[in-house]
Amino acid sequence: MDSRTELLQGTLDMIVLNTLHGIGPMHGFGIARRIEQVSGDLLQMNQGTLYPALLRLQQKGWITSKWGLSENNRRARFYSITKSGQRQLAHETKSWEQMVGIIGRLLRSTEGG
Amino acid sequence: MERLKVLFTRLLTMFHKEQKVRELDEEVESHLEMLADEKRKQGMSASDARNAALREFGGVSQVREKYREMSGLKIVETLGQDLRYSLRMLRRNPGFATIIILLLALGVGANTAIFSAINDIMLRMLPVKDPHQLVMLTWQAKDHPELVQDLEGSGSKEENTGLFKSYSFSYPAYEYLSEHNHSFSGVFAFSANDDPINVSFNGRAAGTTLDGVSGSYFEGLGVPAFLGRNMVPADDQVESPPVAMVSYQFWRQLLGSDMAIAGKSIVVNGVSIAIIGVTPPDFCGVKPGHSPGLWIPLHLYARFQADQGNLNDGVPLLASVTTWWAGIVGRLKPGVTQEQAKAELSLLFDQYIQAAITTHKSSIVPKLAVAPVNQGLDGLRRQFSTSLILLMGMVGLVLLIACGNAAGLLLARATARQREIAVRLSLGAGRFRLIRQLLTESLLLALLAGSLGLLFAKWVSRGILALLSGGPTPAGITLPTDSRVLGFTFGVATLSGILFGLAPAFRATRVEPLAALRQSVTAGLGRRFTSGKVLAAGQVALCLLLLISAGLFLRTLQQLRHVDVGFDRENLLIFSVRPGLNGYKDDRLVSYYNELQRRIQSIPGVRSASFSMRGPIGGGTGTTAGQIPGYTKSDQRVPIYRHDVGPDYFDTLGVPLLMGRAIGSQDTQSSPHVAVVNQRFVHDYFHDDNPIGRRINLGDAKNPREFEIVGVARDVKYNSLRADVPPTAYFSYLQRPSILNFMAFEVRSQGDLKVLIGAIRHEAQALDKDVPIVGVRMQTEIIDQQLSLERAFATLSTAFGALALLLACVGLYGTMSYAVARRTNEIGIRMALGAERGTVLRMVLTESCVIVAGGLAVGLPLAWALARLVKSMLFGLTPHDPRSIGAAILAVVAVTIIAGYLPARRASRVDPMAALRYE
Repeated sequence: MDSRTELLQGTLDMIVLNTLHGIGPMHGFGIARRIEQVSGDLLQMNQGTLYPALLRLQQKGWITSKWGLSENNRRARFYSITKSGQRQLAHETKSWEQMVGIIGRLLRSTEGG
Repeated sequence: MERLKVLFTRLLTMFHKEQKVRELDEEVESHLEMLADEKRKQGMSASDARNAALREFGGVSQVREKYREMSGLKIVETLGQDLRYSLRMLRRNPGFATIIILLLALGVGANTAIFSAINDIMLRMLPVKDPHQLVMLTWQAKDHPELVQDLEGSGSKEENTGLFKSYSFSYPAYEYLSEHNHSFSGVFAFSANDDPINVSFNGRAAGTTLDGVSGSYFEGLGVPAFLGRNMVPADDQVESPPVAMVSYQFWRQLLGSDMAIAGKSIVVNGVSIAIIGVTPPDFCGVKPGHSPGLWIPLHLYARFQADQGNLNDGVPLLASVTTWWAGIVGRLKPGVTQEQAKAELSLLFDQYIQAAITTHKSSIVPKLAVAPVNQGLDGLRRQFSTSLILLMGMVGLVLLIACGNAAGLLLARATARQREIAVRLSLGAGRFRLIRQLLTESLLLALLAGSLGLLFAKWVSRGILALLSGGPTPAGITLPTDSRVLGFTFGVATLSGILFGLAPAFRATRVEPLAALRQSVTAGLGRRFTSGKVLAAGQVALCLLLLISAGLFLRTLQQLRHVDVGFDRENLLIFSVRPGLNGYKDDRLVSYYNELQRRIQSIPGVRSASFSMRGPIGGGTGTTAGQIPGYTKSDQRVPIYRHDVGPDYFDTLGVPLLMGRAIGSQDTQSSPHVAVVNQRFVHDYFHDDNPIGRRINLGDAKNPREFEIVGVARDVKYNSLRADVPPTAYFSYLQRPSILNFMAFEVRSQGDLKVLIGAIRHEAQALDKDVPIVGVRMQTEIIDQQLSLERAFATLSTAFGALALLLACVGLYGTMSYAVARRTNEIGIRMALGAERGTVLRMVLTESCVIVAGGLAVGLPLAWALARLVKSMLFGLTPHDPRSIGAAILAVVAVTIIAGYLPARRASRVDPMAALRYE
């Protein structure tokens, strides 16, 4: 059985924002690799699905992009987080933690009772 | 906000989307290469590395599709796709598209034509400032009030309520209301009658009509002068010099568009009047249906009336309490509602009436009402409105039938396209996406039909105008195609597109792809095509409704044409003379009328000639309130419809005297005053007693004006063909307070009247070349003109009925042909197994009959229930007239059976062998 977890709906945006926040401007391949490394290959994700998410984040004005050269001299588009992206990330992280806390407490209380 | 921003960026990027997608391709390509680089480093071969990279990346095309969808507005883009696809479908099947478009265009066009009439006649606002603030005062009573001894310009008893309604008031009432009210920012009055006048300017003479208006009229309406200055209250005083405003049309036609017209003089009825201004081109006054050439101040108008001897009791018009002749319009103050104004003015009017009836007894008391001015009180417009709304209903039904046809055709085609749709569904097209595609197709058809319908509507409108011309039409009707009409047309087209497209679209996409692909083209979708048959039955039902109403209106017209008017309407010529306009007065008028009568009677071929104040039918009405001593109570007055006639009147018309004698040359100013009454008068007011020798008192107790009844005449229609014969009295024209300065002449001939017209003109010229004879018409023409509305209605409803019948036939024919075509195989088997051609014919024909019978079974009760809607427009028959209903059923059955027979015959000629090989 596959032990990898499906990505929760709507969390990809947050993960991408956080990645860009952590490592600075990066291209799509780099972002995908970084997510896999950090999750320890436990997240199941087609790398292609990253691109619609990147477009969505751009349309919302949370990230910007410009063309540049990768470390091994390939032309690639580099994405970086904007001010409003930072704010959005902070906001999302906070509400995520709250949610996790609440759900965790709820689950624990059921176990304990 | 967030959504807006996304929408905005999408809109922005939509236009260079192709570039975006190219960039994405590049980006994805570089991603894949980076992945492959990595794999190669791990030791894979180049092609293995590439494949592994592709696997890890996931579906490239899905990403691209998703990306494409997100970076553009999908709706707009797919709409373009749908449209392109729809156009391709239409081009591939042009016959099908043409039929649907034509059928719908007929329906939409008929709707547009009737709507443009409604738009022009009912919805058009007066071209004045803030017309919604204007209200018109009206009054109503349970009968003609005795107080109102002379009612000019308006007034009639409503058939359904029995109330007597009018918008004419006395001048003192106008003064009282305008001085005491707090609801209006301005009140103004106008003469309710149109007075025909002769005008001369620079030696050219012409006829037009004139309205008296209060000095505040134009300013109060907010109508600026097109040229010169507006009339002001200072122009409407006792001592004001005579002035007039002229209409734009009058200025164009008779004053030669003279830009320097202001200050020049015209001569009206012998009085020189200074023109002060021209009204704007679109202004026709507030009286619906009339557009006068001249407006003069009320004081001048009153002087004209006095000069012409039109005063009934010798009291000046502006002081008379018993002559009601002025319409009143008020402009509501800001914030005052129509109800508030009505409440206040009713109170004021009651006070005024209470004061008035202390001196002039009246048991019937009028009550005030208020109406928006653009709706007015005009019976003509009201009558038009009811007709138009009914016609709108009828064309709505026609459109429904047309939609039924279109839906039927689309349903049939849905089956033919089943394979295509199944293929698209199985390739992953969404069902709603397909429905949208199919709806786009039907909307496209509908909009094309709408455009064509506009052309068709122009044509129908011209027909409507032609039908109404010559009859009493509200002035200035042109049925323009304005933005409202355009909006209506495309609104209706869109709605019908959805209506006839939706059901077939849902039906078409409800297929099991696999089953449909496996089956043959002709199978599936319900073998018997029930939905198509239900549609056809519905069409038959609606068609029956339309045909029944057409029958009712045709029969009404026929009844009115043959109604007994009480005299022989053939060979009777009517014309008018107005010698008063040429300065004739009193004795000279009398001798003019007598001489003209003598001269005409001496023309060979003329059997008899006479004259009267009003022509018998279509000459207008005049009522007086009178007392009948011994029968009415001391303060009670009853309405008397009057005719003021010259000698030989009854002979000329051919109205038999049932008792006593006629009015003749022996009845003069100095002889005892006499009257002849009709049967209805005897019945209503004398309770069928012998009235000879009894009296009518038109004065009051103090100043009696008594007339002795010397004869009883047979009942004759009074002015209108529809109305019952009212209690009528005939008086000698010589025994009025003053001699009338105009007369209608009646000439009875032995043979063809037309050849006599020249001779009559010749005699009139010989008598006084300056007095023209005007309005020369046969009595039959006048009656025909009175029926123009009924004729228009009967013609239009018959045309719409015929159109509906045609559409229903096409529907039934199409449905049955299609049903037969689908069953060719089955019929072939039946025949191969020994079924006779006759049996097959009967079988298919029976199906048509079932459809028609179903339609009739629904349509008949519906017609029965809806018939009361047209009741008020019928004459001489009930809404459930068996002849109309029978004829309609017959027409539907006969025509639809023919439509059903053709496919049945085709079915019976099927060649069994060919049919079995078919598919």
